Amino acid sequence: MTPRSALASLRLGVSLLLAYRLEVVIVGVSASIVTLLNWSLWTALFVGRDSIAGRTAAELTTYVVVAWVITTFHGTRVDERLAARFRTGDIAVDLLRPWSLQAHVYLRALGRSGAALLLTTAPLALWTGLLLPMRGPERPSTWLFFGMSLLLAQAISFGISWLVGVAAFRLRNSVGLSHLKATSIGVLSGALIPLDLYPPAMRRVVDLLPFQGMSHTPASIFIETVPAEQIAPALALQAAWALGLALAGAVAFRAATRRMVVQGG
Amino acid sequence: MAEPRIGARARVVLHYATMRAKVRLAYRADFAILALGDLLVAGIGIVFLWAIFSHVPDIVGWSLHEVLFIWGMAETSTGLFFVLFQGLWHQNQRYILGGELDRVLLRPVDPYLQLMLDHLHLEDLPLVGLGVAMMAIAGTGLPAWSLAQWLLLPVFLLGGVGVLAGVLTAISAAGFRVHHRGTAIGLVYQASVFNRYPIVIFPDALQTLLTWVLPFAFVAFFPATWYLDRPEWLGFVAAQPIVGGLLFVGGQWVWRKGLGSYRSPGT
Repeated sequence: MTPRSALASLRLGVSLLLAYRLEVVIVGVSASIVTLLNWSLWTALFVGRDSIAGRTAAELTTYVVVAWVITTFHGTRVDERLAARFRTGDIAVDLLRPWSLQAHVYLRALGRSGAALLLTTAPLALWTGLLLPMRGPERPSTWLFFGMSLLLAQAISFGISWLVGVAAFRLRNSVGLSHLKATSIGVLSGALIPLDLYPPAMRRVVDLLPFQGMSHTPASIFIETVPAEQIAPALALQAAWALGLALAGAVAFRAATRRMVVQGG
Repeated sequence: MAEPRIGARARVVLHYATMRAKVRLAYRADFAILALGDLLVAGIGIVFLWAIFSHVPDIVGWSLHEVLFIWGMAETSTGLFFVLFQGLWHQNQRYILGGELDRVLLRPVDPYLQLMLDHLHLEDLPLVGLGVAMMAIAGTGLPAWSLAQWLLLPVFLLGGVGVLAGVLTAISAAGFRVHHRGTAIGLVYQASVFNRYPIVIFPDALQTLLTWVLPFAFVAFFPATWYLDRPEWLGFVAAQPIVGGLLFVGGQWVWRKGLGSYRSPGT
């Protein structure tokens, strides 16, 4: 992929998001609703007690707000789009193009995330930051690590979505699988609740999966419950997952296209 | 347009349901994953409550059993709503913009009924089962119920479906005027997830909103309080079936008003 086509892919992602402005508003409002719900719930949980599982109210309420707000940044619809290309047979055209479809789709998703950052995530972060009592990072370096972690979270999210989209080749329909993906992310990424609060057995399972890199890692870095010396390993783990998923995605894609059946067209 | 007799209508409904089952089962793996997926989505709630209550004994005085009961009622009504009214989600893109409503309007069966039957979502029946199971589990830790409470439980559950269907049908009627592929009903539905908690945990403005503007508190919270022996909301409990009925009828009225301004895209 040349730098020019890479840039074009990024730009395409931005314009795809801008094409559906009402959707941007809807995502923003609905994320606001969930954020407010989570914040109210966790504020209520702290009525009559100072800490839960060793965490203060400020830490946990900030966690749930941050964890949900960042889902608006890394959320992509790669799986739905890819599955649709297969269903309609348009994928045949994609395969003719002189670049890696996976790289193109990744960059498009990145462009979309970048636009979403400005249009949805930032406004959301602003109003929650101003209106809800939250705990900002004490160390300035946290912002840098948080940013890096976010970027990796986006790559992990893309890797999972891509694999789900490819799996749709086999199933010929992917609504169910996309649903399952959304669910797994909801429970296992820590978007709704810090994973530290899960019972130990479940925590061990979650630790072996890539999902925690999507919300739990960045949000924990933000509230600084990750000790300074453990930040680098946490980021490295995220990067390893992003890379591993990308490789698995490439292999699966090749296997799938080799035995693809184009239906209709 | 002559309305067909009740018997004929019931036959149409039955045919639609079997056709839907056949269509969906054509993608068997997908059907199974979807049914499983919806169950898991609902399961998130259980994991969530379980994780929270393993660290705290109560939320502002509401115990795990109490929250689980409210949640179970909400899940049951929402599950039924999802099985029956899934058509609302498809209305804008396929029927209004895609012009499929023309086909619907040419047939001698009520258009709203057709739209809903076209998208009967049997995959969500497990949700209803899950909701009932949650209520049953919660019930083991609750005071015993009187006969009246047992008999009225289905009424409250249907009232909850009425609230959801009424509000969301009225909102989706906007699609007849504002032509857009997206729809606000997903958004409003999102707000209905607030009905799974005791509303007292929310800020006052939110409580007012959920009671008087988007009355989702009537779906499960108000009726549930009666079963939890919390007498503060008895008036709301008694009003719930009426509110559900009125909202359902009102939603139908708004939708039919909107249908009057439908213009075919001519595709």
